[in-house]
Amino acid sequence: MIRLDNVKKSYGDHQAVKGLSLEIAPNQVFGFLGPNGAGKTTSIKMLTGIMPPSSGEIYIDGCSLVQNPIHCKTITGYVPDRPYVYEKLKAWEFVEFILDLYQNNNKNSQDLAHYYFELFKIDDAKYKIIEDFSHGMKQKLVILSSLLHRPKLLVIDEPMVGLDPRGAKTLKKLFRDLADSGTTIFLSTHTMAVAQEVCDNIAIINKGNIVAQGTMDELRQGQDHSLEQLFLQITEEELLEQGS
Amino acid sequence: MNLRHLIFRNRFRSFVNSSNGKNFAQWLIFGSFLVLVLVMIYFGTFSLLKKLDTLNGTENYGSALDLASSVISVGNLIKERLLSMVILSIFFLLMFSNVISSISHIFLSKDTELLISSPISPYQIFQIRFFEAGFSSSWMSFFFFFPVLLAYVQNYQVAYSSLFPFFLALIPFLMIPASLGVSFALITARYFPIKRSKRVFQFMSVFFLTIILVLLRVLQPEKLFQINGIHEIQTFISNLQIPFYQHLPSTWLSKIAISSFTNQSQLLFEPAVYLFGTGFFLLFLVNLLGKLFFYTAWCKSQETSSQGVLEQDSKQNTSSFYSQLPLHLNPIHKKDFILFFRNPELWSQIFLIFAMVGLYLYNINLLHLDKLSIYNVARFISFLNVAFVGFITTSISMRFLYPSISLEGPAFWILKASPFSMSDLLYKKFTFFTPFILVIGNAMTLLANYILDVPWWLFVINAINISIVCFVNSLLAISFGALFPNYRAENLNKIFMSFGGTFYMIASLSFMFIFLSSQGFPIYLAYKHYVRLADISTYHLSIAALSILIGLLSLVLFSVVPYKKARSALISHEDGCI
Ligand SMILES: Nc1ncnc2c1ncn2[C@@H]1O[C@H](COP(=O)(O)OP(=O)(O)OP(=O)(O)O)[C@@H](O)[C@H]1O
Ligand SMILES: [Mg+2]
Repeated sequence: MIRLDNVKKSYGDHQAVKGLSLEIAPNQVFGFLGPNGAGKTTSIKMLTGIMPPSSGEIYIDGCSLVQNPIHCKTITGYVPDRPYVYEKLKAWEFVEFILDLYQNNNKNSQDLAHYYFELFKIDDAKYKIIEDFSHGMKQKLVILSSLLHRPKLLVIDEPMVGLDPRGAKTLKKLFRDLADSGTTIFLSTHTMAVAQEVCDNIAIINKGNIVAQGTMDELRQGQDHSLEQLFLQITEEELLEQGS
Repeated sequence: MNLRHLIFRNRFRSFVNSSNGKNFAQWLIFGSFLVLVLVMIYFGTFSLLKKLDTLNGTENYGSALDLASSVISVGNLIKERLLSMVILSIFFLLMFSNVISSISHIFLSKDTELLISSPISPYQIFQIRFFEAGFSSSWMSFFFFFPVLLAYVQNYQVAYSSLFPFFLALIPFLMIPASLGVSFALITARYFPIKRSKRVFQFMSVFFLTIILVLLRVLQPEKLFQINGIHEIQTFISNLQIPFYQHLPSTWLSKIAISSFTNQSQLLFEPAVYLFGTGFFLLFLVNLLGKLFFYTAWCKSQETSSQGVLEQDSKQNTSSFYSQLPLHLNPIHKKDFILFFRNPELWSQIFLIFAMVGLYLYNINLLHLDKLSIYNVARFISFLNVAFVGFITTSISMRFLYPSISLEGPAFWILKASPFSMSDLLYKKFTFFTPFILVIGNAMTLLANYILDVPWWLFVINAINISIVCFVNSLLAISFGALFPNYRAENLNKIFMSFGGTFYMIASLSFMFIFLSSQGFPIYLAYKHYVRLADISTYHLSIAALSILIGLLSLVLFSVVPYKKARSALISHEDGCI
């Protein structure tokens, strides 16, 4: 579903992502883990075509993102880490705008939107101006609007930040259901519990490099570590290596 | 270390850090433009003053004005009046900008919340904010006053040290509008939640500016140089001798300036007492208000309420304005349309446009009344008129088109992640406002041509020219707006009063200059040939062709190149917030 070929990104002379290569099979939940400033958001922005990579190739569903961005974006849904939206629109107006933007404004999709509003329990805010939403409500609105065009690939940056326990639970279940019904999900997180619970495959990134990759079991390598211990161990080793 | 110093140091560091990124060439262009403007102000003032000197007791009684000069030094009186008028206008502008900046500094600054939770007393925070608000809206006036006053010193042929009283008195003078602005903001915020009143303020600020524009025009500075007959001399002179608005700080300041230029130091005392007295009294008052009100007002300002006074959709209704708009409209246009009308900061600027258009036509009309009897002058003016109208539409584009990319703000990711190409976005933003600008530009030009009564062929040329000028200016505005975006601006002014805004201004003025002046000679030749039926030499013809070529080249250069650059800039954006 996704193929990254030696993707690099520099901000000025600071290299945020140093040669990322990944291959992600369809219909799974893929977890992207790493400490603060590791380059997760940067990688995601390149993956969703928000920012071009400094070098390297990105393929979504067999299609080059650089050569055919419009097609890639049509089949991708994106939820950024900070849910900034047009504050002066009402939630439903925003949804209609998104539907139009993805040329998808039909009865079917509108029904889907109504369904998600109910699922996330923000039904009564549907006709409110977004300005008055709480952080979590905005987050939910952004998540639901990223799903309306039924993307084949959903890319989510820190999905659980700002959600209440019920919202988080709903979302985790939704991820599972979506993956089972043919959507590939790429999510970044620092919450180990989330990764452990929903991800089929995991990659750990530190300082712009992938340092470990595989299923939960593969990462454990037979040891009986929790993911948290593993994460701390792996990122620690990196620090030591760099130090020496 | 003093906490206040700490905060100022942080502000200063943020400023230094944020300007690091701008490269040297940008600073250089910006700086030289600023210097150019200052030099122009200086020479403009200097030559005007020199002209006025000829009115001081000359012997040629050719006009009523000369006759008046024989009685009294009219020139000096006019000079004094002129200075006090300039100071008065600055005073009005300062009042206006202080109200706005105090609201944004005192109540809408994002770091106030952090400071309130730190162990600094609210009163100290207030003092810091007061200083920031006053400083940010006043420092520009120093820049402006300097060349004007320098020209006066040159003209009066006195030592530079006589500038000293003026700049000393400028301190209390600047304190007055700052204190008034902050007090106004404090009191309003004490009684109304500011997020609600912010919309009203945004609306009022533009309204205020509009009124000032009209007021300045109604003062009719040109009247200073007109007397129509002997019988008016008496009133003319006595009008000049009484300062208008005796009890305004601007009058005191201009008195101080003139007294020190004319070495009448005994006259310095009275206005200085008034000015320093009022300044420090208001300073005391605003501190008192701050002590009493700041904290409660700030708390109140944090209440969110979307039920703004100007909000149409205040009731919880289940309507979607979006779906009521015509279906075939583009989604970007629909979205921008709604956002435009829900944001008073944006739509209230329409008043400004009306004021500018109205004032302009009024001016043209005055010209006509003065009977510019020479036929060719009217034609020349109608041609020049295109440049003037172009200038007005440039400033309209600056306020509407230039910010439109930046206004996507931190929500820009929505468009970037969607299957929507960036060149399409530029195009959509361009087509949103440009039709209106074309209509305004053409309407103004045609009305002015009608008033000036020009022949039909000039009508056509002017209409074509203004359409091209409006078109290219809008394109430049969008392109420069995309090349120098500011997605995190707190308000609209911050977006266009910037590097990019200045560059846009320079580019569009240069374009108009090159494009319009390249036509001058060819039009003259055509007129000579077809109307006067004169022969044209091939030499002249080739020069005309060359100049048309230059005009066309500038058209391409100023439209295609920036647009292409803007498109690739939008694609490769690396701003952190998107
Ligand atoms: N716009 C930018 N300009 C310059 N440097 C940036 C920019 N955005 C990110 N960086 C740098 O790139 C590196 C990676 O940042 P990134 O946001 O990708 O980290 P992250 O893994 O998402 O971290 P977090 O877990 O805190 O969200 C950091 O060192 C950061 O300083
Ligand atoms: Mg991140």
